[in-house]
Amino acid sequence: MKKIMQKSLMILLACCMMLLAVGCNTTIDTESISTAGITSETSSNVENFIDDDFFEGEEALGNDSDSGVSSRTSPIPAANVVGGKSWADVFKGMPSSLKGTTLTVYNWNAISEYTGGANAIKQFQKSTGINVKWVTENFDTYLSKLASMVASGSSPDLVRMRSPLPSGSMSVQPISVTGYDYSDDAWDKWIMNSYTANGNVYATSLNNTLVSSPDMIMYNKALISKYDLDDPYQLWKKGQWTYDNFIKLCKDYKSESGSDYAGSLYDYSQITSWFGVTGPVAFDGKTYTSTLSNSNFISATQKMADLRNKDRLIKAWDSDGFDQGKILLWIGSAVYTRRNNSYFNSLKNAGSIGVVPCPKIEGQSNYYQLYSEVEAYGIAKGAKNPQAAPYFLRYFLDGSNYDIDAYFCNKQAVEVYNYCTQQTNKCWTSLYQEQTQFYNGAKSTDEFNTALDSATGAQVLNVINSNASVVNERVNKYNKQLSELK
Amino acid sequence: MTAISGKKAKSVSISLAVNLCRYAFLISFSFVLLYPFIYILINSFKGALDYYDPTVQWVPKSFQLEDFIVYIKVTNFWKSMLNTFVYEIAAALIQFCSCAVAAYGIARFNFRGKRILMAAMILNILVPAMMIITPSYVNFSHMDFLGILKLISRLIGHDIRPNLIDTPLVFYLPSMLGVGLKGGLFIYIFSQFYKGLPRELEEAASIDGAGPWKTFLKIVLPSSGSAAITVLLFSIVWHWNDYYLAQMYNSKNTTLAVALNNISLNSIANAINSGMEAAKSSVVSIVLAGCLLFIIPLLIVYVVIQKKFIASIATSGIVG
Repeated sequence: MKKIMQKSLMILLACCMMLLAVGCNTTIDTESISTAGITSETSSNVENFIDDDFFEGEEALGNDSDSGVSSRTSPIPAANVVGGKSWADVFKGMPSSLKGTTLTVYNWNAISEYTGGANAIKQFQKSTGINVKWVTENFDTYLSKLASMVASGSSPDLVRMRSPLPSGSMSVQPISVTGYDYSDDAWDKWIMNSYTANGNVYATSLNNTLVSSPDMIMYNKALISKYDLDDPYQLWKKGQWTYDNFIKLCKDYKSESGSDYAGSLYDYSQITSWFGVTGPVAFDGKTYTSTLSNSNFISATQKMADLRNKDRLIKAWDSDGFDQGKILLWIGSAVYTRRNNSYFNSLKNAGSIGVVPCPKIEGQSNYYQLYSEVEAYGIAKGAKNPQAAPYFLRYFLDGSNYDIDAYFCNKQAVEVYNYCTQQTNKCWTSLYQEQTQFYNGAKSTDEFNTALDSATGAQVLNVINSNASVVNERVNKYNKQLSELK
Repeated sequence: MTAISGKKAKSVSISLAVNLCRYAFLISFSFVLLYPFIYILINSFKGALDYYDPTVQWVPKSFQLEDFIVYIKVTNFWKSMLNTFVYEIAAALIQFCSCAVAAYGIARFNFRGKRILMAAMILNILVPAMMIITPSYVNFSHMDFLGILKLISRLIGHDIRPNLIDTPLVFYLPSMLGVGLKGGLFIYIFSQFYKGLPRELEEAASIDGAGPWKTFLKIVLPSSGSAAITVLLFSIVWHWNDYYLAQMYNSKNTTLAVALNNISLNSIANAINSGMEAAKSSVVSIVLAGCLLFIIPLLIVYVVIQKKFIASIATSGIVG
């Protein structure tokens, strides 16, 4: 009897577990978003880069009898023309001793991330005689591997830089070691200023490059149509894409769809940056300071906290939800809008991805274009061929060597990208978050971040006041690291 | 009679309530543990359409293998598996042997410097690899012993110190010396077990003329079945899962763990560029398929030796 009861109980509980598992379901929507694989429009000149050994982390691009420069399907837009000296003039000034040398480029992105990049490199090799070795390292181990390589004397030459924080610059040296003159208009002065410490410039990039990553908002056009919402792109074209309209769109989507959230992003400082603040820590080019007492920071953080925890319009890290059509918006960098990567493939395939810049803030005189990632490069300590680096960058980052129509997923993305890169007031996001990653080796382990993540606008001031010492300690640490940079 | 039956009924109901709570707890706990695996299992067999279909949760409309195919293709799965066996599993087996020998020495012999060695063993357990990765990398990139090769290099004007990075030796050497991945822990497990073995067996072997090596190979090692199974299983699992050291020391020959971690964008972009339509599926479902392929060999190993492993846990007293 006892055994029968036990067995019955087990079966009953197992059934309960099964029912619980089945019951863990979101709201069933009988109309599924169409994910029919409409063949993407691809230019005939899309780079089909196939490398069976791409996971080896090193791609030695030898001379290839492959095709020449990809012919563009449209003229290079004015917004993507690099100023300053032309490539022809730059090439004339290149020392002939660089021919036959090898330049090692160290990046966490494989070359395939840059549509047409492999071809551009091949053309660079043919033109200059400089061999390029592209080394890809995983993002998580990027800095520690670089430090190890530098310590062991096997440094790469050119290093893709992470955010402009001292810890990311410990393994690089000033770019002046290349002996190149970066004063002309081809070079991005904002990036060079951002990576300047103790009077030395540690990284640079080109102006008007295709590969920059300004932040923008991606949205699901199918959901806009489905719920008859205001199209953000149309609002932007009419000059009505403002913060209030952004909030209204999010609220309208929530009420129409019954979804928990309207949008997502990967770091909340992306929204505070719309108000011109980079988070709790700011850098003015010379020193790091705490912004906790800055009224703009407090106000922006309160708005962000309400968006998240009171109105519940935005949540963090749900790119998959956006990809699956569960939420309307994704706030992220231009990387997501590139044609040939795996971000949001279902939306790209269905032609459902819309792109719009971040909204203007009413009453705010400046429009801040936020950047969470840039294509900045520095010279590693112990680099064996630093002199070749600026010539490579001048060619590789030059948009005229790419087919812009093949680079981005649609024309709207191109238009918004060009708009964003032309903005003059640029603002970094994630400075503080980035540093917590370096410092703690894990995301969001800092108490301050954790407390902020769950606070509403009314609670933000208390959280700030109770964590001021944490931020101050962090600021002191950054400034100490800054002083150690050589 | 009534009182007795009343007491009996009470004890039955208490027993029933206790059993109910016990099963409820066990099933809930099992659900928490099994949920990720069930999630991986279900979603890796969903195709792209089912994955993006909000009406499909736990039962796919059709079971697809396209995510597995994409994963196998984009990560060079078989080559990665071969690399895992060549670099990691071989190192695990070497470490198993070396740790057994080292532990016997520590457990059975007294010698000068034994305490220092034991302290080094404890440090190996306590200090994470990330803390010493840069000096380790420098060490392996210019392998030397007491600076002898460096001295010779200076004399002859040419650096003869070998670069072991991206070679199997960077895993084999530490394993051979008992200082590989979790080597200190394995030595500790073995030494604790050996201390528990009766000395009479070894004394009897010694009387029969067996030296230390013969005693170890013929008497001690065959008797250490439970500890050996424990160490072997841990060693294989940890080496199989090792991502950090494989990524740092051997990025050219990717193992399964590295391939799985690196899969997010670049490889799938390559597959898309090469015309693989199935690669336009969600990254997440492809990664989940990869996770399943990654853990299946470990599950098979565990199923095969689980009885002996559980017995060895009880014997050696090591948990987790």
